[in-house]
Amino acid sequence: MNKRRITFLRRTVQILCLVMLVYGGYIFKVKHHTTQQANLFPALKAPEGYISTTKFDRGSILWPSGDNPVLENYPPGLVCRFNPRGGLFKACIVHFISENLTWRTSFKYLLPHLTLFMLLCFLFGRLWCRWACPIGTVGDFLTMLRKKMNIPSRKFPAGFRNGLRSGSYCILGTSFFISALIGVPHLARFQCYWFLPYCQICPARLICPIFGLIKPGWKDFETAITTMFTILAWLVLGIFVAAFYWGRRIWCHLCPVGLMNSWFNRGAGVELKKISVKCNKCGLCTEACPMGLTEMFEKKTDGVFNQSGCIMCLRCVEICPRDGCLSANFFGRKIVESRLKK
Amino acid sequence: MKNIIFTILVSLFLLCANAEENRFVIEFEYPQFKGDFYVSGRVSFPPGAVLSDKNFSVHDSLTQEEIPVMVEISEKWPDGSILDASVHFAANSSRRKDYVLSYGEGVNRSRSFTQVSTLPIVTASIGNSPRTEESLDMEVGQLIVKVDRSVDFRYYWYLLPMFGLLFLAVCRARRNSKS
Repeated sequence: MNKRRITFLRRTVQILCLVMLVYGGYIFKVKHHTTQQANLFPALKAPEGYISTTKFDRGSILWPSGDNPVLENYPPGLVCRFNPRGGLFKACIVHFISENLTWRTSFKYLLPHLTLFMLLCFLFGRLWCRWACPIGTVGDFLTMLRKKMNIPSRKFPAGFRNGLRSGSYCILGTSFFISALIGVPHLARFQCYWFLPYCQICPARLICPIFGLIKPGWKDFETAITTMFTILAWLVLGIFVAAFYWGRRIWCHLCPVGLMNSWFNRGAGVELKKISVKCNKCGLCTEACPMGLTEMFEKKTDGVFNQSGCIMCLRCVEICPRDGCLSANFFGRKIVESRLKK
Repeated sequence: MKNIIFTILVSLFLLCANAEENRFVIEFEYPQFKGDFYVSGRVSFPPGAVLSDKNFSVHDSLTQEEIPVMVEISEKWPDGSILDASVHFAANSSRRKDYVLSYGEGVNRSRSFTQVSTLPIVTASIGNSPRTEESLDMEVGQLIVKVDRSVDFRYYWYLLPMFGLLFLAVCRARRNSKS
């Protein structure tokens, strides 16, 4: 498979996923806990008695409407209900865990969802981030725009990337901590403003409703806390746009959803392999890597080099000029390998 | 003897209680034109209050004359009693009346109509309950919430694949890092 084919396939999948995730709800009109849902996805249906998502009425900032046809189940990291009239899926894993921490939902009800999440992460690792994530697709469009304008991308040092990853841990930890804290009955009155703290600043919340021709909740200056969240949301959106425009996939180092997917990356079914003797140290793989990783270049021994930061875009495989030097495998079975460029 | 009298009294009391009749005031604005029109409104009842569509009727509050109505039941409570119904009746703007809707087991509607002619429709508010497209305030009495606190192994079996996946992922990660 040559370069053009991999790129073409990836972009096709990205566009299909974007369309499916944004407009899929128009096709699959499924509401919470209905028999239709059970009929559609019997294996994945929400457990009986599971508390469905709330109709939180802070429409101005969180989402235009909470009453939308959605599914209870989802692949590992889906953006939230970005199209309330047609959004297919309910929430990303950060949203899901945060809201259940706040509602103090019984652990048993989380188990089917966590199992599904772990299964998909185990099979595909962070493949989601580059091949299906809708906001990643939006970001790639920004990157394409930069390329069209002949503006070179910025290189960020490894220390900066590690710093972003630590920042991602901080965001995730803070989000879960606040969600759990407001779940305490004595602090329940804070739920109105602190509910789903990360979701309130997530760029997907602002970007994705636009695809459904719906006005996202741009601002809420009702109280000091909502003002803070509004400003933070704008700031994060600015970082998101800047990150994709200048730094390619630098945002993916900061994304908490990607972080949770990355925990399984090293042991995921999708794996990248290198045969060191075939490597001529040209460094093209490092140049091509949108995440700015250098492990595939630095690795001196043969074997799998899955890194937690790798989003499995296969750019390194398609750019490598050496025959069979780099390859992508699925549980040891070769899917694609680098070819000698003529 | 005392017991019999007591039983009869209690039975009568219970019968009276069961034959309870409640009333809702029907409010609407008379149109500017002169002539007949239909008054249409929706009404919601507490669970168990109205078992059949015969158990409510519309009256002129002054003369107690029963007004023929057309009833459409839209929703029912789990016990089979009526939750929500639409009520339509004819009125005339020249002959103004105050209408009331009576409901309960003591009410037995005798007049109704089914054939609808083409007349203007005026929407009414029944029972003075604030009702919009989005919300409905109604008294439902005691609400019992049942919470299942039993240990449910239907869910806990998911722990098995979860730990299995975790174990496999860790093993594979260790193998990959060694290689």
